[in-house]
Amino acid sequence: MPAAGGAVDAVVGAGEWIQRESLLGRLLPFLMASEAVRTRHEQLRDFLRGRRERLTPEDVGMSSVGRRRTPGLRREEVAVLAGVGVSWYTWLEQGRDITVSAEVLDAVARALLLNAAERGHLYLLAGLNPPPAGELGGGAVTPQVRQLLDAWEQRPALLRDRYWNVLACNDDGKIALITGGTSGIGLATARRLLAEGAQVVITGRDRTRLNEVAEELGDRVLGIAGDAANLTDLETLTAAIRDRHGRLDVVFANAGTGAFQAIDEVTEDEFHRVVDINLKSVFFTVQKSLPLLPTERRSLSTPRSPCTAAPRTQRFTPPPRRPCTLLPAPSQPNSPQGESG
Amino acid sequence: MHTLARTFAAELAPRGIRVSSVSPGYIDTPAFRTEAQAAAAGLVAAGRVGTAEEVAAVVAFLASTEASYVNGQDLLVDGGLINVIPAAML
Repeated sequence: MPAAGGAVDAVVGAGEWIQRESLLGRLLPFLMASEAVRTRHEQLRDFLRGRRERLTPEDVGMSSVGRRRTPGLRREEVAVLAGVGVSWYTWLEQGRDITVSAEVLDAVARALLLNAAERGHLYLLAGLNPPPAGELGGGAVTPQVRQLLDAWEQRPALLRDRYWNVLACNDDGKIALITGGTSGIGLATARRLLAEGAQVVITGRDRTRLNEVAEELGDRVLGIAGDAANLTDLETLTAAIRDRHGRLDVVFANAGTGAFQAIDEVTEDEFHRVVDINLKSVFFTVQKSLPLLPTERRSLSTPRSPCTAAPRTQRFTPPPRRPCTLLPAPSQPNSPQGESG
Repeated sequence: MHTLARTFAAELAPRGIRVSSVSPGYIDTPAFRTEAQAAAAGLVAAGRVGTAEEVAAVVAFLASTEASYVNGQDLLVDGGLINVIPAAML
């Protein structure tokens, strides 16, 4: 007689002694499944009871009165600590087939003072996917880690979390964008930040000049030709930075120009040219850079109270890095018509 | 420009981004390498025009963690042109 169904076939393949046509052969998968459930529930019961018996009321901050008949915490006490009903917790521990959520399991795990491994085991026993590893501990940059980053001196160091977000980096790991970085203040700033260990991206409209400067400054410099007042150029620029570095820490919207004329000599075209470079370019340089500036986690931006910010400790526990954006003044007060960068 | 920086600073503060502006005075750059430099130097309390490196140092400071509590500011780097001389003339 041929097999009745595909599900049974699979089991048959594993054990030839089972007769294909037998009733047992057809029911076996379901029997095995219920056996597994029963075992898992038993394990859950044993596990919870074991963790509960391990604790004393003092461990969880409860007062203990009189003689206790059972070792460890009572079920009622765990239920109170976890904020769940006593009967519900009893059902969970008895291994009844009830539906549990991750939130409730977390509450029970907290009440029983479970560590990360025990919490993951509890999830598995309850039939849930275990929580992602490291979920609880991650996030905060401790002063110790901060000190480690800063102690790296001369070497860029970057701290990322498991989702590849940048949590912190040292001064040597900074990535700085300087528009109009081929001459004057922009170029001097590029040199300065390079000397401090940063990676620098400079822009300029004159491609030849830009390439010369980038060549001279070395391999930590990326030169991207473009007009800071042109949105298409800015998008090309940020795309190139994203490709090369993936982020930005410092933006210096430096590109600027000056046209000093008497008020009644200024033409409309001249006005637009100056406003585009000195105002529009600054605004859109910042706007287009924003997606590349790491957003600091709220937990890291808590201001420190003065009493904890003694100068001596400040050196070893500096506040977390924040991205910084700098804008230039329109131009020098009295320069003839000319452009920086 | 300072007002723009302050606007950016206010709007971007929740993202942990600081924004400040730098206002240089008479600085020796290719854009200002003219005969006007000598005359300008006489107007400045420092008695000379500034170097690009002197402005760059302030920019690097603002961008560093040293300036982590500085935000929305405009830093004048003008050798005392605006703040010192007018007071001296009173």
